[in-house]
Amino acid sequence: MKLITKYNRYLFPALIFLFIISTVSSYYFTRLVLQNELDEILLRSKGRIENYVAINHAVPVISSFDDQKVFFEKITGPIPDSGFTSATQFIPEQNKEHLSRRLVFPLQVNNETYKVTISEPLEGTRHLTILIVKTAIVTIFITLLLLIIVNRKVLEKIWQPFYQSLTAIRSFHINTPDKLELPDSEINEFKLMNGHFKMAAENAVRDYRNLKEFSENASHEIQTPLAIIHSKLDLMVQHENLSEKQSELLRSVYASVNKLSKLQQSLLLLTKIDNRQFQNSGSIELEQELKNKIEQFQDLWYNRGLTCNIQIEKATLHINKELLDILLDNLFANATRHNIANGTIGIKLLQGEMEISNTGIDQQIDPERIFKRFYKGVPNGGNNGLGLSIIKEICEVSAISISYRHVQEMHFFRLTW
Amino acid sequence: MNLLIVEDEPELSQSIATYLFQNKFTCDTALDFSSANSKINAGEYSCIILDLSLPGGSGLELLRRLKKINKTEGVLIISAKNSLDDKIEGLELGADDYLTKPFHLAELSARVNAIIRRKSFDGNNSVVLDKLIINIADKTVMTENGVVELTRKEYELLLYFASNKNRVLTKESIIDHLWGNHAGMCDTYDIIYSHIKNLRKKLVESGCPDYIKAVYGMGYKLTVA
Repeated sequence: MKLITKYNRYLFPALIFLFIISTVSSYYFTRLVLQNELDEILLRSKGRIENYVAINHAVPVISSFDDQKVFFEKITGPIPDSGFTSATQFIPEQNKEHLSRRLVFPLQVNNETYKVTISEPLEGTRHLTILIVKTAIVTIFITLLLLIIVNRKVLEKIWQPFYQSLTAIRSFHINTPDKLELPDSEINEFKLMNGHFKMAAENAVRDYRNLKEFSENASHEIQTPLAIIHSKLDLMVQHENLSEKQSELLRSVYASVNKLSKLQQSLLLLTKIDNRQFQNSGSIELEQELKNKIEQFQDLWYNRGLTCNIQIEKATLHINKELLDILLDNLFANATRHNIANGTIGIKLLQGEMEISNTGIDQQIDPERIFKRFYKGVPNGGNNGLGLSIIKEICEVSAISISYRHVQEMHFFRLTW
Repeated sequence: MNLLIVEDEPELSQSIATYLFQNKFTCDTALDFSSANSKINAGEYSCIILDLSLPGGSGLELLRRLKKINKTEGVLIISAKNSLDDKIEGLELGADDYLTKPFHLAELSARVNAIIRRKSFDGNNSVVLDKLIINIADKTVMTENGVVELTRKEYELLLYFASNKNRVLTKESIIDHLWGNHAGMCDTYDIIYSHIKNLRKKLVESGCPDYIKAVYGMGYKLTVA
């Protein structure tokens, strides 16, 4: 839900409630005020009648040209209550019943008691109140409509920098050299937010750089002692008179150091790809590269009793040549390593698509995690768990999308570009 | 054959010297930029093994100076950096090959041998190994009984052995040499076994002694007198 919608959901019921209250109360207040006004008029008429009686000692003859009606009624009984009442009155000219306000009071004229009734129609008042209510309702609608428009246009315009900041944050990557660019805003809240965003991004970038620098340095520092160990072992295996036990130990150390070197090289390779150190990509005729690579692996597959299903069409790919070589090496090595005895390897190349498939054990491998570093779906001694990360990384920098799926014992890696 | 090893890590430098000395090379070592510079100016070397990060200067600078004074020594860069820019720059500056640390000494030896063969101007494009004559130019192997038909991998394997004769070659180094570093196929020992078996069989069939022997699970060794 958008903020504006949420805001409107609170605002509009409150406004409508407010308008209803104010309309109802203004209706009653207006009516009250107008009624008081009428009562004043009735009282004034009463005063005039009493004045007339005081001077002339006779009941006045009232010619009624306006809507005010005055009746005199001689009474003998008890003196009636005086006061204001509201009642309907028949107006013969309009042939209509009308609400009217009425004042009743007793009048002494020459020792005779009269009951005087003055009535004034409420008609004008009614029209006025209806008009006021109508005006109020129209005002409500216009106000609400205006509010909606203002919210839509003005608020969205005001919120624009917010959305721009969000877009900038979304496209911001910690490992790209681009700085986080946020739009300027006059609004303090947005300024504050952008300031915090920038600070957080800068901190993250700085931490990331430090960490990267550290791991790169660590990698390089490890390399030299590793090279020394490696070279010493190379010399040691040359010794003629090693006992069988010593040879066994040496063989085991050698194999581990070799694995460590490989791991080290793979990690450095990943860093290099990460750092975009492989520039110089060009359009490469993939079918020839693929055929060469197949030839390199042919005897390995033959040796393992693997059958190869190859379907190659002409295809070009824009990639760094060295990376392509590493990519194919790793794809093929992966398909070979995780294969089963007398299994098959499928290689399919079409324009814009390459699929490498292999038989393997029928085991659920998490397609989400398969490309993660050091993920090992299957325990396998010769595998450092980096091959697929390297594949993934190369695909990422070369704008290739890669997906993994498996159907029973067949595993597919599909590359599209 | 005279080699210069320019490497700031004495232990590594010493290992390289020891191994290559056993392969009938005489080795000079330089541990920093200035001593390397003066040795390059003073002596004649068949090949220079050059580390790029040196105390007192860069190996690339040494390459530039070599080029300036028109020295034609073969240069093999060994670097921990493994940065492509260094590699490209080094090769552009006239280096012949590039090897990333850590490496197998046997691989280093093979590369040095290859550089020296390429640089030799006497048209000697063949390696004589007892009864075998390996022709580098057309990648053929001859015995007195004629041509030995080898597959490409078998030929590469034989040449690798020839560059490291009487030395134990570990399975790992053979795999790396034949299939390169990136494949990560360190669990494919079985394939070496079949390649070596075939190579031995072919050599014996063409009248050679059985040169290649397995060495206690470690690897293989080609022994010639």
